[in-house]
Amino acid sequence: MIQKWSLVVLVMFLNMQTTVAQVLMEVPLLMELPGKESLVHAWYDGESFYIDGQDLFENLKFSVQISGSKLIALDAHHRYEFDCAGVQANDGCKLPLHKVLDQLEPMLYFDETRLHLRASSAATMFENRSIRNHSPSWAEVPGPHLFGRNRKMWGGMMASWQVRRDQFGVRPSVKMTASALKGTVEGKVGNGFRWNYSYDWPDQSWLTQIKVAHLGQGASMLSFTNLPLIRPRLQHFREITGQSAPHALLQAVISGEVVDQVQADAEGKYRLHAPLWYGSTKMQIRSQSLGGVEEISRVIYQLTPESLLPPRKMYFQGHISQDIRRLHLQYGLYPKLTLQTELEQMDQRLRISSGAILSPLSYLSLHTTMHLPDLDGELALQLWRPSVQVTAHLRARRHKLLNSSLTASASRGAWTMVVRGRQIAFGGQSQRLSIHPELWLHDAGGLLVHARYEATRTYRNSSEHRLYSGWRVATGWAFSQARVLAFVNRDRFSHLFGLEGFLILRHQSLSFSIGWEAKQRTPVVSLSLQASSAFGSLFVQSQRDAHGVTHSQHLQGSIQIGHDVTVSPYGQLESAVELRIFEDINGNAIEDPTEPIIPHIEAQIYQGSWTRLRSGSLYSSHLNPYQRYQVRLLEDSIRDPSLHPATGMDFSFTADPGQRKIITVAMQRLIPVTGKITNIDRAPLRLQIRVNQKTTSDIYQDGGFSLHLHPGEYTFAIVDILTDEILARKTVKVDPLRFHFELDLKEDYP
Amino acid sequence: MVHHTYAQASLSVTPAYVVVTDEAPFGSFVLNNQGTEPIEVVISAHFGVIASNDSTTGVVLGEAGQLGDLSAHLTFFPHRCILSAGNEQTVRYRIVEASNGAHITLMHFAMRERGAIVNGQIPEVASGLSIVYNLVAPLIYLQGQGIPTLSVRPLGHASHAIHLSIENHSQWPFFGGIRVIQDGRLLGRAESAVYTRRLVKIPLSEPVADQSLRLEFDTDYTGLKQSIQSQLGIPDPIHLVWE
Repeated sequence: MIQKWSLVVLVMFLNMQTTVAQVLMEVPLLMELPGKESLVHAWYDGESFYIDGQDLFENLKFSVQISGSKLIALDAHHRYEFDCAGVQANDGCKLPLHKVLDQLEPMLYFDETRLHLRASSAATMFENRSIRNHSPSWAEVPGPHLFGRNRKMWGGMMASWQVRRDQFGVRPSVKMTASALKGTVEGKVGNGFRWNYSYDWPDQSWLTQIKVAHLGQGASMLSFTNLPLIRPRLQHFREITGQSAPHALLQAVISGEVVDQVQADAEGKYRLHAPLWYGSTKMQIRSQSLGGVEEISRVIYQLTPESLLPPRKMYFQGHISQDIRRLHLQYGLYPKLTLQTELEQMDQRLRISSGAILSPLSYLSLHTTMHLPDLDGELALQLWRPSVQVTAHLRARRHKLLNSSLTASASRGAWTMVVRGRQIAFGGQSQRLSIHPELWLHDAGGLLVHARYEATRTYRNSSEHRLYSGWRVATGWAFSQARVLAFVNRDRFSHLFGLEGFLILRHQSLSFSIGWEAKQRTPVVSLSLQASSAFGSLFVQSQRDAHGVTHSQHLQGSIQIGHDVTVSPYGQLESAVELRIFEDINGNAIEDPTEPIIPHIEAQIYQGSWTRLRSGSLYSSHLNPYQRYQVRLLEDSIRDPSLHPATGMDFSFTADPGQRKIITVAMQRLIPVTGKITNIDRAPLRLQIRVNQKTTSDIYQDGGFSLHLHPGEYTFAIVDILTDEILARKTVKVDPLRFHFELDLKEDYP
Repeated sequence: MVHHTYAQASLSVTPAYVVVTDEAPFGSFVLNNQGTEPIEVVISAHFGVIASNDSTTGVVLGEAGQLGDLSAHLTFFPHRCILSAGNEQTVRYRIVEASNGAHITLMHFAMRERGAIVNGQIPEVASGLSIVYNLVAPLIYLQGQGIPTLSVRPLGHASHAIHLSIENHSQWPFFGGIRVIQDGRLLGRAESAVYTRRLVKIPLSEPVADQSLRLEFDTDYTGLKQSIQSQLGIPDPIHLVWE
């Protein structure tokens, strides 16, 4: 009897064990939120899914409280309470997924086939702005910003010089830009001496630059502004709403990159956010309905004029000198409307101007200004459409039109048509109207035909008038390096026909014109030559016409004084960078005299170009001061496989004004550190090796690991990525040779 | 409830072979995981060739005829890597202090899927279940100039193809085309790389009329640089007679 009861108890005990034990298979779910993807811990027991409640709701930007076996998720408008299905070792809370979906559907959609949790774009309960607060790569220059603004008492100088000789005499002049006194000094010598000193705060928003200047003849000036020194690329984020198939996947794509992705709601409504840059933005909206139906796409073009400020930004520019005090204010009221006003006091007289910049349509921009107390009004209109451009200016005073101008151009294929018109009033007594239509044909074979007509009518006392007209026809062959045209010009002063053209060789160019002036019965000849050497550029021009013979010569170049002295044939160079990639033999990341520059390592600079100097370093000039530039070292060009750049393959720098910035990239020889983990009691994929509590590296399936490190002492820890538990720890010294060691999960248990 | 996950690993290595010279004794392979699973790749270099016996062509390790062993003169980085789906890794190599002649090593890329993390999985079972995929890319280094010496043995011919066994007796590999000529007419051409011995099938435009053929060689080999083609000379033509 006792044996029978014992058997029953044993069977009941075993039965209880099998019913209580729950076999859970871990299935990480991919969670797709608008603009963000992340993995959420989840489990599957063969029937139901369970999800890590804390993980889920924190990803959805809720505040999470776990008390006992309850999880409470809160935000400003919602409160959800769930019973935990099982408390995890790290005080987490498993929630049955169907209970979560019961409360959050249709905002949260679970795709069991793909193991995806997807938040609908129509979800209003999720605070999308906080989800979007990650910095998108396309909004600014990516890569770590390793070389920022460099301030020095003396950081070098760039001087551009020119000497001009013509019928008015010889006129030398020098312009200088120097990085000095922790700011920028600019100077100009020639027809007097002028200088200014500016100090900047490129990262500030309330004041970015102050400038003091000596203007010559005893005059001086102070100016201050908060205009951004770094030219902004992004004007604003545009919201694109629309209707598609229910639950369709919508993507906004710019230059091949998906900038936003959402899922339409059950009614097919969606809301995408996309960046709008200054200049033109071409955006493609792709719609893929559920079930693999063919993708539909449409293209949106947007053009944002540089003069429009980002919304809710206010910029000022102040100017104080002996004669003038001026304050200019601009405010971006809406993405397409910028208000501006200017107060100016000059000779005890106050002048107020106010106006607006408006872009009501994507391709239309309007500038209006009203000046008080003169009641002068100005209106400028610009219209861009594919192949068509129109620009118009109107200026009026007290209801009277003072002057106006209109330029319209249209092109199609090889044909271009330009029409210019102008009206000018002279004191209310007379006015002049002129119109200049022009037609160009330039076909792919190089044939060029140009025809121009101009007519000018002058009115005096609203009755008397005169009409002048002229025309020009030219035809010939035109290519990028050479052009020759036969032409006929006829107007009220001259009747001229002849030949003109140019030829561009590598560093030299020649342009000429030779003709016969029929009215004056005289030949007309002009010849100009440009030649460049390593030290300077020379322009020589000679001309003979009805008024006689004239000659002019112009010599220019630039000198840079800093790390060394270099000369260049080009004009003013505001900012430059020299990239010195050297082999860091002693590993101190400082370029020592015995450490050579590696001349064959190639690099890319975005929005710039390199020249290889004789020293082997790379050099790029004509950079925009304060602008960030991205550099990528080309891995294929690094011949020695054990050399690694201390900067990483990608980094960015800020171009300093008036300075040749020297960036040193230390190529360091790293030690290959390999090893193996022994006595592994779980799947090796769960393990990671953590070096000095900073960097981590994955473990291979055979328990091996592979790292590349500098010589030194390191603490290696083996971590279970699912539980964050440290399983082993060992401190070893890495020698400057290939290094191998083992970590035993039993012996090296911390 | 039934769940399906579709994931697969796929590794591509470019280029498929490399011939470098002492003018630029360095370069790189690019590994690309085109699949949807993360993979781990172990990279190693072994002395050996791709060669044929009487029936098949495959990897032969430890010997390469008269070609030298490049493994001792080679450094490369990295030796192993983990590639997430869609990611790529550059494997850079450099050759130092190799003597005159041609040297070879086989770059071996052993790929294994990493799969999903499964709680409670036994480690030995996990690694035992995964399949290792192997890719081999020959890396050949040339110092100096030379002409390969070839001998050919006919293995047989069908109406529209001829089967040959080509043997290399020199320290220079052969990369190029083998042209079959009969009575001054070109009957067919095939490209091959012959390090030691290689079975070659040459498709013919018409059946062979008699038992005498002339084989001519050229150095046009797909992907081989012109400068390297000129470094390896053209072997002498061979008259082929069989019973």
